Amino acid sequence: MPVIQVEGVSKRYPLGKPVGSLKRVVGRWLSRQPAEEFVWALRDVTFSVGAGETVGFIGHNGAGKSTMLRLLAPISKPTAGRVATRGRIAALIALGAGFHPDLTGRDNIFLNGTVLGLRRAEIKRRFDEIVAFSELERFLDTPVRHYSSGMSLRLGFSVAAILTCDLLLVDEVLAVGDERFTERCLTRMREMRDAGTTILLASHNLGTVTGFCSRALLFRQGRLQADGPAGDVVATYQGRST
Amino acid sequence: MREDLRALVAARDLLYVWTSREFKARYAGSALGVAWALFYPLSLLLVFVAVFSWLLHVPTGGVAAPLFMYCGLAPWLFTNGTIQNSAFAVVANIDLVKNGVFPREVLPLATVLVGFVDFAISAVLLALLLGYYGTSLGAPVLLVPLLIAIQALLTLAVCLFLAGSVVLYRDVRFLVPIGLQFWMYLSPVFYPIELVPSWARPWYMLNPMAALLDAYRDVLLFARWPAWPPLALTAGISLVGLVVAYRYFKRAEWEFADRN
Repeated sequence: MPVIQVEGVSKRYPLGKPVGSLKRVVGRWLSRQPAEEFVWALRDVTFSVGAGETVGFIGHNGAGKSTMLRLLAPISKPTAGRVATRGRIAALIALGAGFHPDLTGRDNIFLNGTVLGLRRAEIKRRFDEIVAFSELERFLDTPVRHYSSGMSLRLGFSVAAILTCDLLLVDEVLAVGDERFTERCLTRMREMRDAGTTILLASHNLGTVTGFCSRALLFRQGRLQADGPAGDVVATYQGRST
Repeated sequence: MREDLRALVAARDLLYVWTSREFKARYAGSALGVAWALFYPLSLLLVFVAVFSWLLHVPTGGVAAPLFMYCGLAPWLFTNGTIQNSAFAVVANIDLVKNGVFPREVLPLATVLVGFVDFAISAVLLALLLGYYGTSLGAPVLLVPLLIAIQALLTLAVCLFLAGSVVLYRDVRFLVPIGLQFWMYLSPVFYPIELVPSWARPWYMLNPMAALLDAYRDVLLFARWPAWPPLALTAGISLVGLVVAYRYFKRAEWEFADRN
């Protein structure tokens, strides 16, 4: 039985003004128009992923990769179609976005860990392990607002590194790390894969996708354009863009 | 809704961590820290007593004006302050909402919990005033925890409703302070409900805050049991309101990430 089943999924976002206003609501109601503009981020996407697969999401900016991950997390709901997932999900959509700038690295480890669904006791027990992975011992009591983006990334991934989950969603978060840290993240993700975790990785780094993923999905303007072995799909993508 | 509650219970550690974060954000970093939580109600009390008692001679049922007014002011400030913070609990942390998966009601809920700390601090001042004026308390004072519980449910209901709608409708954030002003003047914060003309009283008592503040005064200042029908009505409104508000919030939360 698949871990992920996505059937005919479409997703649209309201365009332009990001937040509704009463004036627009009242105006729409008075004029009886459904006059809101939308942009389709995903159009009729269907695929399924089996347990233990490693799947890369590739495509240009705005192709729908992140939207798909958000639907799987789930952070939002599809406009049409069905998304079904099984097991415990951990979503690393934007590492460090869950950090609070005023809090120290130490406090943020607890905040981020509990957002990811870890128990406080578990974080306490494995605190040293998290800190060791991040190599941020010296900055634990520094507010995160003073961290560089690379440091935030390291702290964020280090918390996630102790997760045990059935499905791991990773969105482009490795991009700002240095090579050595990225390599360690990938090593950790391989361990998770070997332990049976299904991993979805959205990335612009095609080398990472071919190196890490067994399969890749190519998104283009919200549609699923190709689905197959990572090497072939990456080649398709490169052939198209050059 | 049962599923939502189960998810909320599962996220109790996050609630704990987030509440202590809110607590630190509120009290750490300012030189006087907790002292502000005392100074604020005290300064308001001064203005209230000066304007409504000395200037306008609002009757206070034979009780010293500072005590009478503070007995309404302290509970009101809990609801008022909590709503002010909670209404923006989700918008202020929209990045967390857009990138994390957790029950979103944790955010407004944490501000309500932190509001209890302010409430406890301002209650100390109330205790001091009660002692200073030599008020004798009776058995009815045992009702205070029940009154606080009803008030907390009511406050949480309003907070959930506002926290959700502020994200979706920008205008609501301007309505929050206006609404709170109206609510305060329409509640017996600095006047006794006896001042409300009797023809208007049934309507007036539909405001759940009216029965609550009146009951606080009954049990704390007059050592008498409160009028039960309005209190029961208020408890009912608060409970139903909370269920409705929670449902609204859980339905609205799927749009939080999409619309920001």
